[in-house]
Amino acid sequence: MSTFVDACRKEWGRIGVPEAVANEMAADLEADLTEAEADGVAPEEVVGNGFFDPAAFAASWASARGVVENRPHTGTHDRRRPWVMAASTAVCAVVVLLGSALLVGVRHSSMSVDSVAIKRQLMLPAPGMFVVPHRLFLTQQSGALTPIGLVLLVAGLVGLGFILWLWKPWSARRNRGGSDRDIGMPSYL
Amino acid sequence: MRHMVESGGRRTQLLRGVLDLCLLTVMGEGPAYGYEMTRRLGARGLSIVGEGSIYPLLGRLERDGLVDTHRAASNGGPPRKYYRLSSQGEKALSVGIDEWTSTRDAVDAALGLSSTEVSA
Repeated sequence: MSTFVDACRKEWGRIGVPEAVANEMAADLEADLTEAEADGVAPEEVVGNGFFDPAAFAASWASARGVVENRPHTGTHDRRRPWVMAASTAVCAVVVLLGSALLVGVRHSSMSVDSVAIKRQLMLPAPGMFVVPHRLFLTQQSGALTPIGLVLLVAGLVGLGFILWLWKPWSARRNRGGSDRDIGMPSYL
Repeated sequence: MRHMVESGGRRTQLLRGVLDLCLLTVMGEGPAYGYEMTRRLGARGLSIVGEGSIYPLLGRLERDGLVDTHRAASNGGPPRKYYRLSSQGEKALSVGIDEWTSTRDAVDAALGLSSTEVSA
């Protein structure tokens, strides 16, 4: 029995249950299990399936009593995670939009400059030398923006895909373990 | 085999919804510590072998103010934590029993187990 109680005590220490409370819970548990053993009652009948998972049992009991001071690392991580995910999604979406805007904008401006250049060449044959460098300058700028837009678009899409990949397994995992908040019974039932 | 697992799962789910009422009821017989409540449940034919533990549930009942607790020496054993119904717990038990009764009657009728016909 003491192995089970020791495992519970270890878990209570890990999740920050005050020592006095942990001692009280351990003493009650030890006394109950000892009495059950004297009655010939199996420990599973006293602590249910929790006997096979002392850490989950201990965490569930402490959580139900509201005596967990420092939440386990995974709990804090899960609580913070939606905000991190939402922020990352927003950043990736902005990157995708920026990339798309650059690609569309460059194509549009390139077409406009081409048409302006053609018009000016038709209207003013002589100053074509002024128009052509202008067109070339813009075309060079457009050429530089195209790969940047492409990189941003791809990076944003990859980021969104990665977030989706992270989010899906997390959603499936989040209801596992811990206590059943509806009635305070462990969800490993 | 799968059928047996599913049956066990249903029993667990059913028990989940009413085990708090069962605990509050056996506490109504007088203050009791954890294992004593398991004994009282067993005497009423309710075994929790293979089910959950009553300890987290007792913790929640205590946190919600449905039970009062005190430490006292048990018969020849170490001091134990005794639970007893609080006035809030008595009200919760009364409401819970009403809910259970109406739900059970409706389910019995739906399953054709009820002796009284529900008129349409």
